[in-house]
Amino acid sequence: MSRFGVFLCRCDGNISNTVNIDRLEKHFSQTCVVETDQHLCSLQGQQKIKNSIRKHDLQGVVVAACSPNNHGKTFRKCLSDTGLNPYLLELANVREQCSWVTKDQKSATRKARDLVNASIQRLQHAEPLSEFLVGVTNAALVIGGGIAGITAALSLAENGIKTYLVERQPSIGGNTVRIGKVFSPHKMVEECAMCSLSPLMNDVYEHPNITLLTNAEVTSVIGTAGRFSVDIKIKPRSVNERCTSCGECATVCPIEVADWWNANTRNRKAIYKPFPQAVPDRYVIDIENCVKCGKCSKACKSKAIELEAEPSLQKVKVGAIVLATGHEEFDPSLRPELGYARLDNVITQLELARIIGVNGPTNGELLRPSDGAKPSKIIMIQCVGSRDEKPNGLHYCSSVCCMVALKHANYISDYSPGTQISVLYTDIRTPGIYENYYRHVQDKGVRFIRGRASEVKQKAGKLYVSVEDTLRSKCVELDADLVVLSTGMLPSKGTVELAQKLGIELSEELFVKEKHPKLEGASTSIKGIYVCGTAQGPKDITYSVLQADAASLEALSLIGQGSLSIEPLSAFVKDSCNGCGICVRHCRNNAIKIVDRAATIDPMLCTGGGACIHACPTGALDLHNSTEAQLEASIRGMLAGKVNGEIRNIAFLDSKIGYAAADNIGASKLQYPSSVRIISVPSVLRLAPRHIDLAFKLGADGVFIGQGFEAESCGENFESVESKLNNLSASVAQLGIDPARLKIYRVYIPHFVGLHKRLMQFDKGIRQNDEPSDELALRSET
Amino acid sequence: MANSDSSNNFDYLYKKENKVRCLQCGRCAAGCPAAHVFSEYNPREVMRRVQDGEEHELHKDPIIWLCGQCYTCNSRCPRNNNPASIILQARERAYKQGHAPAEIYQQSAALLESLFLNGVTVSPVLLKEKLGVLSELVDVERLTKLRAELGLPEHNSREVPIPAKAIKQIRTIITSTSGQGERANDA
Ligand SMILES: Cc1cc2nc3c(=O)[nH]c(=O)nc-3n(C[C@H](O)[C@H](O)[C@H](O)COP(=O)(O)OP(=O)(O)OC[C@H]3O[C@@H](n4cnc5c(N)ncnc54)[C@H](O)[C@@H]3O)c2cc1C
Ligand code: SF4
Ligand code: SF4
Ligand code: SF4
Repeated sequence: MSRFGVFLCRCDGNISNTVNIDRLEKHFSQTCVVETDQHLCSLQGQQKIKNSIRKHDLQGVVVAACSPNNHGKTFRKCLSDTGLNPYLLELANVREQCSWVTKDQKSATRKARDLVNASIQRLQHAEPLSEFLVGVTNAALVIGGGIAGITAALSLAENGIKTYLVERQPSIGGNTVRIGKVFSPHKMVEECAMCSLSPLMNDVYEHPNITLLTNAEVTSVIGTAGRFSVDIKIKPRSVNERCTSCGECATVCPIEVADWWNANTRNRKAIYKPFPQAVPDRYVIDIENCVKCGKCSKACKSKAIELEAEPSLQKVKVGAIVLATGHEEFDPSLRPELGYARLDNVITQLELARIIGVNGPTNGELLRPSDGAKPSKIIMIQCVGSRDEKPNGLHYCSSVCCMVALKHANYISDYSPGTQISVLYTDIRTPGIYENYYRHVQDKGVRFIRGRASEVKQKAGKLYVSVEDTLRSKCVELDADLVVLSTGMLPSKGTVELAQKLGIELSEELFVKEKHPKLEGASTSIKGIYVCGTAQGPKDITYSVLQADAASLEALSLIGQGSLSIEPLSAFVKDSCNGCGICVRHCRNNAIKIVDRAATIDPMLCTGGGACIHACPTGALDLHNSTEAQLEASIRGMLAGKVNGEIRNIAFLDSKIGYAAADNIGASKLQYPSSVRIISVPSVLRLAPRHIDLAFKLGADGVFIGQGFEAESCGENFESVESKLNNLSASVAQLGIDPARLKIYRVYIPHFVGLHKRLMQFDKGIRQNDEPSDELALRSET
Repeated sequence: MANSDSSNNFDYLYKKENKVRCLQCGRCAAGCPAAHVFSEYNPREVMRRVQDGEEHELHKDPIIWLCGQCYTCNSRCPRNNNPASIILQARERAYKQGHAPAEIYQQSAALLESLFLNGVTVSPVLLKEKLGVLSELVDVERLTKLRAELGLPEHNSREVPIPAKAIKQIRTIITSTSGQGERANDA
């Protein structure tokens, strides 16, 4: 009997309802020490593991429970607490990849048995490893200068952290600047957004610990938690510090463009100041639209204009990053039946906010766009683009638009008394204290009609809205002078681009996914990168600010540690190296150097994808924690015990995105046949033709390879990973393997549904191939 | 056709989750031309009945014959529900079980006959003479005048003769798929 311990978790039925744990216990007791528990992750469960390690002097541990992405670290700590090397642990994912995806108890139990078996086999080749410590850079980067980014930057700076705040626009402030008036939980009066925001913006500008970079964008981030290197590209402002904000330049500039800060309700010049309280308090030239006529240069008495200024690049090193890249509005012209962009007097709430804002297109007077007349009947249409499953629709509730409509209805009732306002709603969502606001607005005489408007028409200059008053089962056409659409919120383009650049996980809705929806709401899938504000999900200012404080606290505690331990998952060199140097050019991270006629690998630079391993002609390279021996053992283990007529398909998934997508399939309880067996590899570049060949020799019926969409491995980009994979399938074909038995697929976490579909199709294809049915034979004859 | 009346048929066409997912927001009704004309007809209420598990009673209710099958309800529904298809399904069942109004049987027989004889369903002659209420809604004279005004050729595309071979094939299809066809054959 080996001195391996096998710990089987029941997970309160999540596993044991489908997998017969008692049977597994019996089976493995013949060779290993076996223990079971309701919750191995609980303190009691962990204690059980530790006690058993001590009692039996175990040499290695297999935990059969949920995904390693959930409690991998917890279980590792159980080993190190007892003095056993934490890398002598194998996790068999019998929940996300077995009990949650298999209905049939027999198949689930058999698959779980095989998964545990494979883990035992792999454990025999485990090597003890030790983590190493690296220093943490005492600086932070905040990306996005809306209310969330501003709050996060100030909290970090106040705590003595050197902070860079990068904002794409020429001023900080973000969407809060545009919404004008704000609702807040306890007040029935709308405050002015600028009154709270402006002092914070000035604090940012003056804080000695904050370096503000506006008109700037992050172009690349490399490194890991504690030691990120960031490249920032700064567009020229073309107006220097001598600017006194007198505005002479703008009066002579001949170019007019729609003004984003006014939600395009008015125009601005190519040289402009975003808004009166802008920070930095300076004019700026929008170089995309400037024709370089030089009129502004002549008009400027302070000689502040530099028409020929060039973009610059700044490189910074930081320990932590906070993402606060915010949201944008749903484009209501995607719902043409509502008339937006076709009918002048159909506007959005944001446009209404600009119209009633003192520095907006009408200087705060409520006038409608078509003819500047005062509207006496206003209809607000809720849920435009939100809670909408039509193409481009947002499936979620945007959570602030009910309050936004109430805010504007309240404000208009106060300042334009006599205006008739009707709100056409699906459900009014005013959670918590906000219900007071709803009641207050009802008292003001605003009409609420429960029904989602179907279309807006214009007849003889008047607007008509079709809606069913569902509470009276009456379809009506209501006339209005002005129709206001409460459009939904979606993640800003900046949010999605940046998340993909950083490789952080996005939710299905493409917001940045928090690491744990309840317990780690400001952390992302990557350690050292935090998120706050509407980049993470629709929310109001109150919650954006709270989350910004949470994100900065997380960043502070990471930076405050001073040093961090790094997992030793790099490539390493064996004695057989002859110093030929071929591997050097296979590493795009430049981690390999030839020193004294032998390769050496810098573990700090190596990202552990394993692309170099098969480049070595003498087989002198290997990868920690995913060695040749370990990988082979996994393949053997997954195929062991295959009986006649049984089908088994191996799916190699990269440990980051592919594996997480497979976990999401489980978490969504989508089912797939138990013939699919998943093996996690650090990156698919780790795989060589020989591994695929081995799988087939050991009886695999098919091999599926899934690589994360944005996960760059070994510093390779998308295209080079692609071409390497093509080479791999070509070499496999040369080995005489039927190409139909090998499938390579790109995985994108939000689209785990796609991975599921592919796995199902693949498994089905292999089955059809394996059963030489008459139908198939017929088809190939004809 | 044997199982077209089984309850599975409904479940297959209208996924259960869609039925129960209706928001009762009324966007379908607000856009529905039939609901604007007939106060007793409302696609949202049809959905409510389906949600409440009464879909198998729907075919007995004469309101299902008020829908114009324009599918506006489906194109507007934020949850991608399809009241129009549910109506269609209920009509099929009503028709088979004898719950459809008498004129429906007359009209459909006329259509089938026309298809059998001429290879087309609706023709101006048919509209004018045999389709009851429809003939009031479709003003053939006005259409002919409109065509002339727009400079379109006088003939109606439905009067273009259908090749004899095609008519033969249509007849084969009708006779082999429906008992009704044989009736038309006798006629
Ligand atoms: C019409 C409307 C009215 C509202 N009214 C209220 C209200 O009355 N009260 C309330 O509490 N909430 C209100 N809200 C919600 C409120 O607007 C948000 O909660 C708040 O703006 C979120 O702030 P943020 O900083 O997270 O995002 P944002 O304000 O969107 O700021 C994000 C910033 O990041 C920048 N950025 C984006 N991508 C990049 C990039 N790649 N690199 C650098 N910078 C980037 C953007 O330019 C922007 O400055 C309203 C929302 C709407 C749509
Ligand atoms: S907050 Fe209100 S208007 Fe906005 S999506 Fe939710 S329910 Fe609809
Ligand atoms: S069917 Fe669709 S449009 Fe009609 S009430 Fe239900 S959710 Fe609304
Ligand atoms: S298909 Fe029927 S129910 Fe749907 S909108 Fe048209 S007439 Fe109304």
